[in-house]
Amino acid sequence: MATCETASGDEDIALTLPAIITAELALANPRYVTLMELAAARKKLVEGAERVERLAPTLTSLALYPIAPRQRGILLSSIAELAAIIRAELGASS
Amino acid sequence: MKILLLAEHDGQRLETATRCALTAARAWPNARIEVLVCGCKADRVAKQAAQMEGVSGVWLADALHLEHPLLEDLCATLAAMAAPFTVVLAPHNRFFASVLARYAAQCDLGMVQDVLAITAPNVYVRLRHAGTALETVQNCAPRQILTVRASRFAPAGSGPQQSIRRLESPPATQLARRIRASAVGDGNPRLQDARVIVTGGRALGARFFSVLQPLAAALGAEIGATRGAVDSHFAPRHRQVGQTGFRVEPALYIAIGASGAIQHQVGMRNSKTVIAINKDPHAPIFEIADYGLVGDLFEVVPQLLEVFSATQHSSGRTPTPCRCRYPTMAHDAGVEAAHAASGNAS
Repeated sequence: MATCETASGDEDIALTLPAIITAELALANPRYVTLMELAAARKKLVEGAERVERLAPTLTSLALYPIAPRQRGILLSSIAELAAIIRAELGASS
Repeated sequence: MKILLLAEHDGQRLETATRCALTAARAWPNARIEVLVCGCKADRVAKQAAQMEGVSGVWLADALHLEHPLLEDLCATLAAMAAPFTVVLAPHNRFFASVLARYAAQCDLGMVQDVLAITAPNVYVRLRHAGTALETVQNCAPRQILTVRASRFAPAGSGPQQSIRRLESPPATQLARRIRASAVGDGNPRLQDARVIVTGGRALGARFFSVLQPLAAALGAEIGATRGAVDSHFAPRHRQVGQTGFRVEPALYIAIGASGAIQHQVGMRNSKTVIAINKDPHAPIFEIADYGLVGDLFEVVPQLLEVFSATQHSSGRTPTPCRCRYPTMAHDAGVEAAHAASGNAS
């Protein structure tokens, strides 16, 4: 059984195994490898998985470009100034 | 050519996101667009869907297990009827992205998620590298499966009522069972649809809602939170803005006590105007803010609120106070006060 976040809250889901789940970063602490385990791992046999025939990937990247960065704006010096700007923005967007 | 649009709704009302996705679907010229509404007693939603401009027909899958569908069940319903459609698309959200990904995998097809623009019938623009780059990607698959970012497409208007056909949906798959569900949603419009958002960082601490709630109420804003604030349990996760939370694009975004980590910027950098309030003049948030104020938020916010309550801003809607799942915050004196205040206002 797993607890997962939904758009409006969370839910507990019981799954029939085998199942695939993804985990949130905050779920658990990472398990760091100790030097001894690292040495032991070298002796382990790595089994190859059988390749499953799938269709060739169909996605091609045509272009990749950075988003124009936002420019640094104006530093205000008073609350009154800030309030005036918020009021102007609220007026403009409504 | 036929296009299938998976409708997002709350059981009663069609979400605006569905109308936006319909506009996206019209990027394919001369296509017949049909909408799939899955739900339980969702006739009202189907009727609304059938009145969207550009729709040719609506399929209604009405079943008890589709009221709050599990991803396996929604996917099974979709798979049972979507084969004749060349394009299958849905407004992007976590759930629909999972459903369409599962469907795409079952069909052995590639899929593109969270599309920002459609430049040709199989060419899309999406974000890459944690939202710092745009990528144009072509999907050469014989059928196109995608989710689209609703806020990037104008919502479709109303048109003449089209036909609604009922669909026999396959029985529940029983692959998964929902044991418990809790909604901490507070009946507010969703963060992604908000016009104004006030976001707080970890710096607000346990006073997160008591500080932000009155300000948000005064400005008619929704409350967002950084991941730091959410991970520290100062705010619920459904308010998180950022790479692992929601990506929002409001007209006005006010970041309070948020340093502006790149992961947070990803979620809000497309806002129209950004205002930042932070104690640290070197905080990265000031690099991207249109207006910044250096100061202690615990002093700035109350003073700001004073200005606004002196000349009551006539906002059309005051958001209902957040009913939070964290009992410590729900009993926070400030939140109680905000409850009372908004109660009087309405």
